[in-house]
Amino acid sequence: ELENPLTSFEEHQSDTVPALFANESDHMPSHYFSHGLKSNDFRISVRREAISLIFQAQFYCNFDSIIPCLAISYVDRFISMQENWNEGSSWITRLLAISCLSLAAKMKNTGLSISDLQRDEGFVCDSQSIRRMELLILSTLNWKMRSITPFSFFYFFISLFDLEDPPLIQGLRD
Amino acid sequence: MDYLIDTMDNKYEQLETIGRGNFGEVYKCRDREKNTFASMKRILFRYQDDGVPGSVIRGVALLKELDHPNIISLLDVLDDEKWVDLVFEYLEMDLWRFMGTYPRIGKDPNLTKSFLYQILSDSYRILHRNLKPRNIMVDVDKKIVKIADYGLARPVDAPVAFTYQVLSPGYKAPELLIDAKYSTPVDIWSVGCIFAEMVTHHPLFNGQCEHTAIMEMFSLLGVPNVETWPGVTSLGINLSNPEALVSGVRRSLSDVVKGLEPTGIDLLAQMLCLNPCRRITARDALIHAYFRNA
Repeated sequence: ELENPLTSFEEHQSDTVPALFANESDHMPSHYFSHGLKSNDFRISVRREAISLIFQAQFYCNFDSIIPCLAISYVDRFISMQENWNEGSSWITRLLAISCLSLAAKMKNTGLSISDLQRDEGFVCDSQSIRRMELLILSTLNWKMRSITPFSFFYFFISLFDLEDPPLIQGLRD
Repeated sequence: MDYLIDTMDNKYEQLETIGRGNFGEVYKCRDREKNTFASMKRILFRYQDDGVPGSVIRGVALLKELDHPNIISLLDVLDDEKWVDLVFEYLEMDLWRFMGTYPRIGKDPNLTKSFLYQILSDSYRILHRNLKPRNIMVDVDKKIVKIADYGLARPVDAPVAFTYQVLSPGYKAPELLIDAKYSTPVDIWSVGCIFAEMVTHHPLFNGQCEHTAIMEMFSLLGVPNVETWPGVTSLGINLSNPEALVSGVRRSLSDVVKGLEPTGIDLLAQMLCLNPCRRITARDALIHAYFRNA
């Protein structure tokens, strides 16, 4: 029932597009992240390691590619809020990666469980730590877990083309 | 329990239980700092090992994006390992009780018009599926209505005092009753039923089951055929004997919804179009002549 109550995009384009633009900034890493990061910032190595762990899990579990996309956006947003993250064990990074993956899987309602995600041995974290980390991420990201990706704007852009071939339009949409 | 004491004692004072459902309970609370009321919905996690359920994450994420004066807003999310507390703005009166409590003010044609406009202006982006007077809240002083029907925002899944409306199909569009494909037009249908009820203070359709509800609709609005609703024959209703699908004396909308001005009857008829494809949209309804002199 909660799945997709937002009405479909085609029906209300003129309302939805400004809303998407307005929303996009709520779902991006904080502004200073991209500008202020120095190359020796510890967070860069955390990010790099977390992303590689996420892709590793993707390789083992072979889930929909939207899941690593979402998970990486959570990692970025979370890291960008931690200004004084100067040290930490790789265990914390693993915990962050798996918790973001788990949240992304829940957000997309895939039914992937934490044990599915931990099939690869590099990943093992206990479920209580993951639960706590999930809550920390949720509150840090202010529960704004939807993501505005370039795909969200897709209908808007194809509507700009004056296509007269309905099967082509349908094909693009699918 | 430490957590409970912590949050409750510090920020919110728990007052009374106002609702209960499969998810957990709803309390009325007082925000100590602002000295305002709020309602707090506690959602217990059924499988604690899995942490926060996906449905809760998706529901809260959606609520976080909704910001509309005619939507009950989510003020706060308090989390714990075993539950989350969703804190919503609190309004005491729902539209159903409002009509019962204020039989005269509640029938003021300008108020009806204003409430209808507010309900329609919110129904652009969201598919509710379950709009009814019980989940539309009324700010009596400000004359504002706010919809509290976004999955998790629904204040009461199963109210403490059980009412007929919980199971009543009376506000459901025909395509929902016959399990056909549906989309946003189902909400326009429900709003149409609510519109009629605001005028008369009686539910437009009382049907206790899907079958009687369908008969009531057809009796008032006519039995659909392939011309008025192309494809209707494939929906599983046997239309070969239309007489069997109506009951009582044929009445028109203006007979039933007495006291509504002619433009209002016209708008209502377009909202209660049986064929969802021909039903008026929220956008068109908002610029209908009925609202012109508002």
